[in-house]
Amino acid sequence: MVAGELVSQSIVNGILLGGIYAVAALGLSLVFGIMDIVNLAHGHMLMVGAYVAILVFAATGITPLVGMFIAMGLLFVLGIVLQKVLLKHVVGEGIEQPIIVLFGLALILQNIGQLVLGGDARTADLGIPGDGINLGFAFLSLPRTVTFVVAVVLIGATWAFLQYTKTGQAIRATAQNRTAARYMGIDTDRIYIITLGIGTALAGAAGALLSMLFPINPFVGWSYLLKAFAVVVLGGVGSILGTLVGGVILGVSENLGALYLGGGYRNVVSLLIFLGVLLLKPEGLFGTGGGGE
Amino acid sequence: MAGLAGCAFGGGGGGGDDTLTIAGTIPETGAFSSLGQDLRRGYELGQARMNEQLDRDVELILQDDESDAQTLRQNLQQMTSNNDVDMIWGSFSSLLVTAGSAFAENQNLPFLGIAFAYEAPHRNDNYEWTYAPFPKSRDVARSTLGTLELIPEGNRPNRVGIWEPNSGWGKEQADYWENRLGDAGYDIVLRETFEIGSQDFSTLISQSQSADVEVLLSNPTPGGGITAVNQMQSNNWSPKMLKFVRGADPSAWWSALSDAGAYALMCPGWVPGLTGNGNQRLRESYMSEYDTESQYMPVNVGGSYNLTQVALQAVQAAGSTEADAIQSALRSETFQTVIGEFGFEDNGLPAEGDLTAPTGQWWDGAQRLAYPNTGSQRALEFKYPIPSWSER
Amino acid sequence: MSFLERHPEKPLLANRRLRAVIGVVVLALLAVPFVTTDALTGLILTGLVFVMLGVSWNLLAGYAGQISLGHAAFFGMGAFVAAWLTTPSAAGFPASIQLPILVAVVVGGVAAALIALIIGPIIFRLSGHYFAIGTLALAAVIELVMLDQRSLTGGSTGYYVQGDLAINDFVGHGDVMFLLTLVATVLTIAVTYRIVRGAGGLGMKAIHDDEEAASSLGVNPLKYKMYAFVVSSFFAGLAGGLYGHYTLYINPESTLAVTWTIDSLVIVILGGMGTFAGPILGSALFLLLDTGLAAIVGSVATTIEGTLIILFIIFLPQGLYGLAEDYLITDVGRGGASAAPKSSDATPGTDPDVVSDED
Repeated sequence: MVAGELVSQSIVNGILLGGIYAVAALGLSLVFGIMDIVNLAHGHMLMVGAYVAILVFAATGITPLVGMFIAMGLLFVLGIVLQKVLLKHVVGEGIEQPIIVLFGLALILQNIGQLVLGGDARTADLGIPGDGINLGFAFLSLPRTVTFVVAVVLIGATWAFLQYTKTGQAIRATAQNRTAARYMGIDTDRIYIITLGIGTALAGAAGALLSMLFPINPFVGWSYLLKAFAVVVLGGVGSILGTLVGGVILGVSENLGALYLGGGYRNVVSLLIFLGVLLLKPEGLFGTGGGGE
Repeated sequence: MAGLAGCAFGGGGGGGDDTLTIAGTIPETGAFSSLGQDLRRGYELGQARMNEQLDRDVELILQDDESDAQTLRQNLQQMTSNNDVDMIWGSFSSLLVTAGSAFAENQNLPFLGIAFAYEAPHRNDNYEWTYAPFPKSRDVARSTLGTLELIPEGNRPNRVGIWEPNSGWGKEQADYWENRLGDAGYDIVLRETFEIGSQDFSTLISQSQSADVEVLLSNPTPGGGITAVNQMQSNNWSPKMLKFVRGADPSAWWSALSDAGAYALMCPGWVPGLTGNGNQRLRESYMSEYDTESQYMPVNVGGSYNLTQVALQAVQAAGSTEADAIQSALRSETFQTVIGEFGFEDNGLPAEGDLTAPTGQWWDGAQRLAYPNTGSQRALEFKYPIPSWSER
Repeated sequence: MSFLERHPEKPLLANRRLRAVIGVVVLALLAVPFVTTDALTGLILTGLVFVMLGVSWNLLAGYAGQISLGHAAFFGMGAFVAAWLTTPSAAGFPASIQLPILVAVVVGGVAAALIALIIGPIIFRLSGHYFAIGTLALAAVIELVMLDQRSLTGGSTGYYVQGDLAINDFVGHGDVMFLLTLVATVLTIAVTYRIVRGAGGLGMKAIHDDEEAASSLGVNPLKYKMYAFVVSSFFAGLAGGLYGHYTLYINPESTLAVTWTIDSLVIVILGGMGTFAGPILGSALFLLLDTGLAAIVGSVATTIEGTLIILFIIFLPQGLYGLAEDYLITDVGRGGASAAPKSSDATPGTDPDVVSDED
């Protein structure tokens, strides 16, 4: 028998982790929805963001919450350069070229990670003193709670940006109909650049948040790519609320899977849920469709 | 490349009946990179000693295996192809040592490996050439019991939790702990598996807390062990006694955790505080050779030096560098090394009962002997219990 | 969509000079175990495994257009099934199922093909990006499950494979495995060649170029995808079995690692995706890069590989094969795209405007 308190604790831990998964997935989802490209290097960009936060923390002791903005800035620039230099050659070229270009980029980022920090896992911590909160049925650990709140704020900010700014509206218009957007005088090339910048910046943010909870090594990219894509599939491409719900579902199912099936299957459970949804309901649980072929 | 060091004492050249050529790999990069330097130092100090003691040149070729079994195999293949290798020395962890041993068994070359507590391969894979001068799973369990018995009876904890990594050795070690401690009357209140590369220990922590675990035993990787303690801290839970075999071995434990890593126990084969059988000499030569502030040597220097003592004594007894002669010396001799006095079974296990696995404890940035009691000033009095996080 | 020009119709073997070159190369390879060191034999054997992986992945990705990121799973499963059959006791199987190495590696390939046959109809419900990520996830699931099944795979400590095909002191086990791998490589190339030159190849090309159009013309896309997937997985599994019985030690973490997928992909891109000789040339270059680069630039080898595949796919989508064709084969009068040596820079597709918007 599994005690009730253990179940509630696992669910709470899963929800808190799900917020970060949602941030990681949001960046992937935006790029997929608007540019029709799955950023295979997304997980590796997350790793880079995490390393930026870890290095800033190690050098100065400043909390990764600040390092997160540095990571986002750097990755925003990386995204822009990537689109301007490489991806503009291959966007709209079917799927082989973008997949392979991004695959190559992932290899490069992984190698750079190894060069800068070696193969060892590195970690930062919250850098803010304080204890967690005991709710009775569950304990809210401080780093998990803080990172969850920041994650939700980031998601809200992205939503507000897309909803209320001119650029955001242009991005949404492009997502709905590229050709029509062009006729309306929207510079879709510029939209692509901004979208990729935002997408990669969100990957950086997710990495910085994760660095406060888990050790990061240069090889974590693939696994976080799969997690982020699982959330995109669960939530549906282009749905911000869906992404948040998808993140929470993934986080909770990982924790409950570990509890009931044994820790050896923590990641298997989430991958199987992902594959199941992908095959049975490819538009996602909350999806409006769009994106992909 | 990083290898090919250590020819300084040998005549080089390889081959010839006079030269003893040893090939070895160490993890200088990759997951176990924090151990590479310690192994190199232990091997090189040992090589220097072998050169003094043997009337032949001793050539040691070391390469970086990148903590990867496949790379390790390629390295060994290359070294044995290009040199007349007489003996192979292993790397770190059951994963890498078994990979090296598989190669040596095929090549019929004597193989010595430490940081390798896993017993099953010795029995199941018909080892003939692999010898492990190192405490094995059964010795680790016995030492855990011994450490517990240092605690006055009235105060002694009873509730034991085991976190079992999903590796072959994980299961073997968990079985030994469960049987040995269970037979001694301890209550095994939790035994849960986890994925060996796992980074999220929150479920295990909740489960342990809920089962009221007092003694937590596991054999995670170094990265996993460090992560687990970090997450115990943020979840505000701690057992009263914590033993992470292999996980708490490297110095990275303290550099990553500092005071949060105190109290942790480990069984790394050798710990500062052991005495006799060349310990004094090892300490002197280490301190004069390497610039170090700490008065406590890294544990894996001792472990790897112990391996070189076995090699030295085996070659002395064999009187030759022939593989067969060294093999029969390894099977028949009794060895005196910095970890104790022991012989080998034919399958390469240290003979049952010969070795007491020394248990070390992290304290103030150093690993020091907690069990058995030697009275050395580098040993310490076993610190129990671990206070709660708010009191540390 | 036709940025990849394929030349299945080119009678490759009809070219005499080429035939002579192939003959010399095979003869030279036959001599390798007898004239080189064990280390070099091992290195070239790895190169042959790369050829098998590259040629088989190219059939699926280059010809049928299905970018699978799960090739490593078939390589690894082939290795494990073969190992279970030669060394059953280590996995707790009865000794009675024990088979000789030669049979076991073929069964390993068949097992990989069977896995493809079973999951194919399911995974091919996905296409494009979803297929790529789905296969990546599938391979990850297989690796994690195998890693957890310690009694079957040895878990992270690995699995010892027994095998000794040594004939005498001079011809050791590794040398015999080399010759077997060479035979398997030639077989892989020959079978794949027949497929892409035949009706199967045409069908694959049709669904690659335009699945809907092919389908409306009566070509069943699933049939050709499955054809490519099953054959490709068989050869990947065969390669895995051979490699495992060469090293005599396998381990879920390295034998099923995503690295094998990465290697296959890099080999095919370097050599020329969707070209027949591409993966063979690509393997040679990759082997040189992988060992040569590692010796010279060591730690940045992966960065160089990554950079190369990006540059190749954008500027030289036909890879080395395209280059070789421009410089060499045009001499013999069988010009491919254009005779100008630098023409590959201007293959259709590098200019985004040429391609119709799919919306």
